[in-house]
Amino acid sequence: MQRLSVFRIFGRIGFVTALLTLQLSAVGAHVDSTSDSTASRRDSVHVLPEVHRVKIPPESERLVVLGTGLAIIAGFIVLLTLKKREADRTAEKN
Amino acid sequence: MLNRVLNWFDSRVPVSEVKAYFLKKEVPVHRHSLWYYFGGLTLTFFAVQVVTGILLTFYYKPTPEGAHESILTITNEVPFGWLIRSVHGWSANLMIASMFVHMFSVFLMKAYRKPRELLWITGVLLLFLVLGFGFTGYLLPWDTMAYFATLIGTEVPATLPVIGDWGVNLLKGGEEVGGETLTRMFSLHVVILPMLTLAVVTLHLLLNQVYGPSVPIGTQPSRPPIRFFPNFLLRDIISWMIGLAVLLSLATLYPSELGEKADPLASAPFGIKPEWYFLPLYQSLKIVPSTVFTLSGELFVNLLVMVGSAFWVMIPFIDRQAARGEKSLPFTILGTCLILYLLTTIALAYATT
Repeated sequence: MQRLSVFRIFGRIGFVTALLTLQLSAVGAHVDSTSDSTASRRDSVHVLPEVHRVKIPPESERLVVLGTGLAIIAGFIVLLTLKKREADRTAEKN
Repeated sequence: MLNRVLNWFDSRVPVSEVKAYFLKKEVPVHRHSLWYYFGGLTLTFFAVQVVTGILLTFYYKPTPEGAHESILTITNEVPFGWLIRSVHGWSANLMIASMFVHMFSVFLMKAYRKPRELLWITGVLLLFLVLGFGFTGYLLPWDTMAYFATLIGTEVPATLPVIGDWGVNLLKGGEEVGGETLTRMFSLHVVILPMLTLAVVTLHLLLNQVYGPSVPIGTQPSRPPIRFFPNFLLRDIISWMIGLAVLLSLATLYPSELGEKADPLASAPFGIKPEWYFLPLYQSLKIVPSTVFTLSGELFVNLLVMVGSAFWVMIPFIDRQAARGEKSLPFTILGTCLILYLLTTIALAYATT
């Protein structure tokens, strides 16, 4: 079997990450527009109880962070699984 | 060039011997092998704690005037500060959860039996240290809940004879929970406990390399053992990645919040509860009657926890059947009952106000 190039795998991971990021941005923007009652809050930071003054980024931004992170982790899992299979096959042969 | 550097190191440090050891090391495969991964997972969450903790200390100010404000700055102003803080908080919870799973799996598989007694003892010490991290870190945001929970928490040892008052003063640094308490909690959280933990983790890992994974008594391997490097290590890293995915999901979907700045003169809010891993102790204090065998309820629970902890550390020397390689049903029942007790008390504490 032809060995998978690490660069090729990372290229694919990058492509999937970009796609997922775009997709999640769209989903996030939709979530924000439907969950916030006022349009003015849509693009502003989401303020938890006013008195605490903690400003958590809006859900769309958090979903992008999550999507990007998960895509990178998924890429690593795919890469590691391929490496594991290769290592198992080598071990079986020996 | 790289080979020259490696050869230079090899002539001074036994790199080849270590490499040869890992290439030779094997991991047994059987129906309970899944539990082997929780040790590595705990270590991964600990590494995340170290990294995010260091990043948080760049901005955190351990004073009653500055602590709450600095957490606000971290969350609101610092790029990705909200994420780092949230990851730190969730990683602590996941680390303790995976540590409990690891400990009980080791207990039920009787992996503490001879010759792995020291592995068990260092592991239980690590649990105590990690609980110490949880306790000392809770006050640091200096919000109302943290303040009053710490006020109650630091009073818990007060009932103990001889060392009670001394212990409370040591934790608080004075009569009240204040600036001195915050300084002490901070130094414990970022200097003393990390140093102790690093030493015990190193010893635990070294012992683990010496003895390797234990096969439960009476369990037959389902297939020949696999090599630690690379076959087991790759599986281990995949489990770390899954753990990191869970961590990231929790940290982004449920980011850490912050209550109002602590006001020592205000009255305690209703429904103060400690973190989930202290709930069994909290609930035990609630359900035990005010007087037990002429002792106060609090003292009784404190003594029970102390004696129980000492018993737990000494398990490898008490379970003689396991030491002889025989199945020890009473200890399996004990472990199962303890798991049920912990889960029940946590559920009860959440269900009741």
